Amino acid sequence: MTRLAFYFDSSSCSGCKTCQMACKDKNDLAIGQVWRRVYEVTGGGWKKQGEAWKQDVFAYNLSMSCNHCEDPICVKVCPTHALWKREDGIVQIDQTSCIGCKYCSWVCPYGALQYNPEKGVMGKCDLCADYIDQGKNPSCVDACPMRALDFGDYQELLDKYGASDHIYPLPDHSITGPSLCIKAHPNANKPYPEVSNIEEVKIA
Amino acid sequence: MRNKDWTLVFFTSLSQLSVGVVLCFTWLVYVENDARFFMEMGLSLKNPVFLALFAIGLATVISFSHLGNPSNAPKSMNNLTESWVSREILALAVYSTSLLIAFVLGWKNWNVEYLSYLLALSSVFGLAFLWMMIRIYVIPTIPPWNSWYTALSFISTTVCLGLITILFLHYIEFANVGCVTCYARFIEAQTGKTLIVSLTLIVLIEIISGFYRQSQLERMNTGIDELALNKGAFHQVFIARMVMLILALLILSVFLLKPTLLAENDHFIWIYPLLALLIAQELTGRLLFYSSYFRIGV
Amino acid sequence: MKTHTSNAIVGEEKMIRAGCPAHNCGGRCLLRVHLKDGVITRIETDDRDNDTVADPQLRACIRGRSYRHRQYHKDRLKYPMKRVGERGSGEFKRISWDEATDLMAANINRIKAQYGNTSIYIPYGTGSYNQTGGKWSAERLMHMAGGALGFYNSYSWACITRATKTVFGTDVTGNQRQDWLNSKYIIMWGWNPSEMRDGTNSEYFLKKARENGARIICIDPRMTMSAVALADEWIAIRPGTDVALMSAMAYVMIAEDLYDRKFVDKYCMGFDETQMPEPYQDEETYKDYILGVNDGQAKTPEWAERITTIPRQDIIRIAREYATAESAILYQGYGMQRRAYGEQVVRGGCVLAAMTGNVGKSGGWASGIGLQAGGGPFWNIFPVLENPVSAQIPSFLWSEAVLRGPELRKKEGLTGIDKLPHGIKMIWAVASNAIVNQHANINRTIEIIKDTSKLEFFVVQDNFMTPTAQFADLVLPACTQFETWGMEDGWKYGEELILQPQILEPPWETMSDYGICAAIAEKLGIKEQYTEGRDEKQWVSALLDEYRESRFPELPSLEEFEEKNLGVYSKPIEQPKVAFQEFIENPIDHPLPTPSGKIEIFCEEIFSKNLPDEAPAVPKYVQEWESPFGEESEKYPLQVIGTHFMPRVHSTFANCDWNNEAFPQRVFINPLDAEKRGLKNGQKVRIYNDRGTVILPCRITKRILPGVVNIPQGAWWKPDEEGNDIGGAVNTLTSERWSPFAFGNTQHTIMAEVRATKVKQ
Repeated sequence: MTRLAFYFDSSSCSGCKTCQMACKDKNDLAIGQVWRRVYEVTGGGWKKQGEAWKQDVFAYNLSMSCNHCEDPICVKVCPTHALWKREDGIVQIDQTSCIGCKYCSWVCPYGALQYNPEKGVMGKCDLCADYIDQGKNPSCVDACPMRALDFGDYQELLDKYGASDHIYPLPDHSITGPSLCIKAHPNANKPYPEVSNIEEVKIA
Repeated sequence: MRNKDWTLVFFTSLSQLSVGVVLCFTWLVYVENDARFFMEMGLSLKNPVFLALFAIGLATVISFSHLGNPSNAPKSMNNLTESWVSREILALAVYSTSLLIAFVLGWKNWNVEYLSYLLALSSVFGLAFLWMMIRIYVIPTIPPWNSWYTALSFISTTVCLGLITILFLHYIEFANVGCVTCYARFIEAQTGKTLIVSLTLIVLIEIISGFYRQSQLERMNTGIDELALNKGAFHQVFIARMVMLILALLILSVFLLKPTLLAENDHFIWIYPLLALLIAQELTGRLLFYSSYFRIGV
Repeated sequence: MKTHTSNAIVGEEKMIRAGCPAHNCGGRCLLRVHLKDGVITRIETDDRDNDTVADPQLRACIRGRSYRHRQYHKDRLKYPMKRVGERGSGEFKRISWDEATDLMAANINRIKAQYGNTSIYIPYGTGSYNQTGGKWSAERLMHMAGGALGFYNSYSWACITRATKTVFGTDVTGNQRQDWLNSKYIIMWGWNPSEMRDGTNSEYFLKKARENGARIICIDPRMTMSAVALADEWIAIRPGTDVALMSAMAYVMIAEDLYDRKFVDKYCMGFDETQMPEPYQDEETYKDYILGVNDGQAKTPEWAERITTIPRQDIIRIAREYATAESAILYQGYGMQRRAYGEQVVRGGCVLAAMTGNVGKSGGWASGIGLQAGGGPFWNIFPVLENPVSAQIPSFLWSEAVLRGPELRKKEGLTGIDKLPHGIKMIWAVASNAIVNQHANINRTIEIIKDTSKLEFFVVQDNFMTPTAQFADLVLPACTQFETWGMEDGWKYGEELILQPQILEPPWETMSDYGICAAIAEKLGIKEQYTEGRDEKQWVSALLDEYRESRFPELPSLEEFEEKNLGVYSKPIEQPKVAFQEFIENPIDHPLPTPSGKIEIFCEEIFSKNLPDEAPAVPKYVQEWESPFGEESEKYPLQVIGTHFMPRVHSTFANCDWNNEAFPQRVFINPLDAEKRGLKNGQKVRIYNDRGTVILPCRITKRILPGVVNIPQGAWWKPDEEGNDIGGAVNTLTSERWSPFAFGNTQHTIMAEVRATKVKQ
């Protein structure tokens, strides 16, 4: 049974947001709809040492859309069953059934569900299901100039890339079982990281 | 930035008012059969059953304005197997229907024998509805709501609003017939006293649990979320709510301890500010509840 | 069975492969443009099967992917317009093309007759930067109509091009990029290819180099996007002090005998007293400077620490790392040469490469501008012909030529003529926002161009009403590159030719730059001469022939391109060429095109200018005229830089909503500086100096050196009622002063202060 998942190589990600834009263009998203978001994480600090500055600043990026969770909390809570999980693992939304109650966006720990005020319904990444059905890759995967994104069956991704790392600011993966395989940036486990571009990523 | 979800503040508060009124009135009819006379008022807001029906109807209408795409509303019971919202909506439908039947029967004085059973059934459905509503909010990815306090808050709103409404309707009734001392006797007697004591207890519980919960919330790490009310405003609104509760408690304590004193010069008119304060603090409390929303993760 | 309704595009579609419209980003990428009923519905990128190091996919960035929103922007210029209010008021009325071209011809003729062709000027502008669009069409026209005042150098590379040539005699100093994979140590010095895009795939090649074992460090005032994706270490350096670091590195290499003595002896000139040419035996050598023989200050790491803020141990360490690496790249970015005395940093980098023997070596890098060995770079092959006017000014000094043209002499960089008879009277800005927005000191510039007695006729040809267009007397609406035929090549790197077939019809009354020039040519009576009977498509075919003859013998024909919807022809680079290989193998028979035939660490030409304090003959650290060390820093303690910004290509895309949503324009400030000023993240602040005030929300970030703020360049200038710029254009703060030897722009040398605004947010 396929469990489609994203692979993201944070160690190669510059934060250029080409993936975000590819998604916006493909899905014709309005301003305020950002189905793939790039989170900038920074930490460390500066200390004066005589005339010099000593710094241990670190930074990395997290590009994330929807994680098509194994145990998707959004599918569970949706009253109209507009959200549903395909056989291959893609969590999709049927906008013709959505009532726009926004409950799914409250519960998703990844900010994947977003309300579209013009249409009055929710929207989210669907792993470019139409492309996948045609045997093509999701738009973001083919877009990345650093080739930092991939997708495929979760287990196959783990086999290909080794284990998946858990990085801040992701929540505990045991809650919803995100189908996301990450290669951490070398700076990913340093203390006191912060998301530093909140205004760009806090959508839902 | 989160919004304050006013439609949901009113939907939940009105729904809980409705259920609370039904619960209290059911109990009242059980201990004092005569209380049925209220139902003969029919289509009047002085009739607790009609009031409850009106409240749940208004709540339902308001809930539609919360939806981005209300035309799909009929589909909202499609996920009974997993979604508490679907279940809540079903419970709402069942509760409203049961209440409607009770209202009609009570009004037309039909099958009077079974009326108390019908009211009891409506109460049970109302409690189920309340429970579903609580479960909607208790979600592991939403720390401020994922606690015993959500249940306590919703239940105490229900009971508080139910009790004060019943007490108020009694006052109106006695004031109408011009017998204020009758009201004093009512609240000194067992039934009325139970109502006042219960209300006082609930208010005390809301004050104590409110302070405790607020200190817990103010210590919570909200991650990258920016709340609907900033820290300063959140604290101020909380203080405002506590002030309202304490004032309400003061008035209530006079009702409880010196009802005859109030009977002179019709000081029972203080029930108006008491009602206003309790409604206002419930709405404020609910606003704080929605404003406290933040999520784990991003 | 659930149907997927939200995202699929249904119905018949056409897909055309086309080059991403060429702006001046440095990338040259391939797009797949999807159309339905003649409307672009979606844009994707290169999907060719093999994505190898030798021939990688040319993947577009966020800008190419957002192009729909630029293409269909509601503010596209539609019709020719004539100014009706005061110059700069933005009051225009629509006129016909007939009237517009009459006006053009009449003014060209009048100004020619009254002032001469040296008073007509087509300024630097790269808003349309492919082979058949942009200012080259206008240059061809003017060169056929008596000529126009020319310019040399550019806003991009004035110092680096000029200075590289003083060391190597050529600007072809770069190995082909695939060679980076052979390197063991890479210094990205003020270089941020992930964000600018300095050649499509440069950042990808660096990723591959790292996989091959290269250690990469970034030396930059900011922890850039490139640093995050590629660097093992970030060395934070104070802007404008790079030469101090270079000098200290040289000091360590000399003191610890780590430099390649044999290489220096064999291939260089000017390093020490054994290598100075005859007449200069007693002059200061590079080694003299480094050891402080003349000025009494050895350029030690301690000395450099004070200036650069880099801890001395780090300076010593990276000097050792660079010197002892088996092969190392010191890649110089362009921001640090767009500063006061920018010539020095270029020469300094080249000297370090020479000292470590990394010239003409696989895995090494000679530094300097680094145009690629082998075929060299691509520049435009569209025949603009020779300019009958030989007079040229530096590209950055046009505002002086307007203000006081006849006063300019050789010492202001005027060449080809001793003295201009008159100042610039007519400016024809084609695809250029470098009159107002991108030129330095906006408040000063607009005063200069508002004077109609000086600048008598100002024409702007563009897609949008930019801040430059707002000051025009005549606005000509150009179409986009999707709306006409064109082609582009790999720009600085690569071996590819990308076709830009016409995908859409020019809307309203827009015309291609070439078409506009042809229409003006008609009014000037030289249409046949100008067009040679060709339309845009026929020009593309002719230029393809030229590429086939000169560079790509297997280049498909235009018909084949169209039939097979190829989009791009690329030649895989299996054996990357290494610059200076021949020189290194045999310096006698293959000398460098320098006076001595060797790598010139001491430059006679610079020496002869006799500006020892500003443009010394050996690379030296020179304190900038606006710096944290001068008096000005008391009032204006913060350095301001204006870096390239991911969502824009300079000022292109500044008006696009998707791009601004992804990267809103902010002033980036370190938390320590913000705290001192009581600033909260997102708060509106004033950034100001004597030249102007910019008002922007701030973004507090640790990724910048304390004492430095960044206002990314290219946001459109937008004055409020008080004249403060609320659009966020860094050039409100920059200075028009130019660099002493290369006459380059010094737009990153700025001191300013930041304070919270008193205005309610």
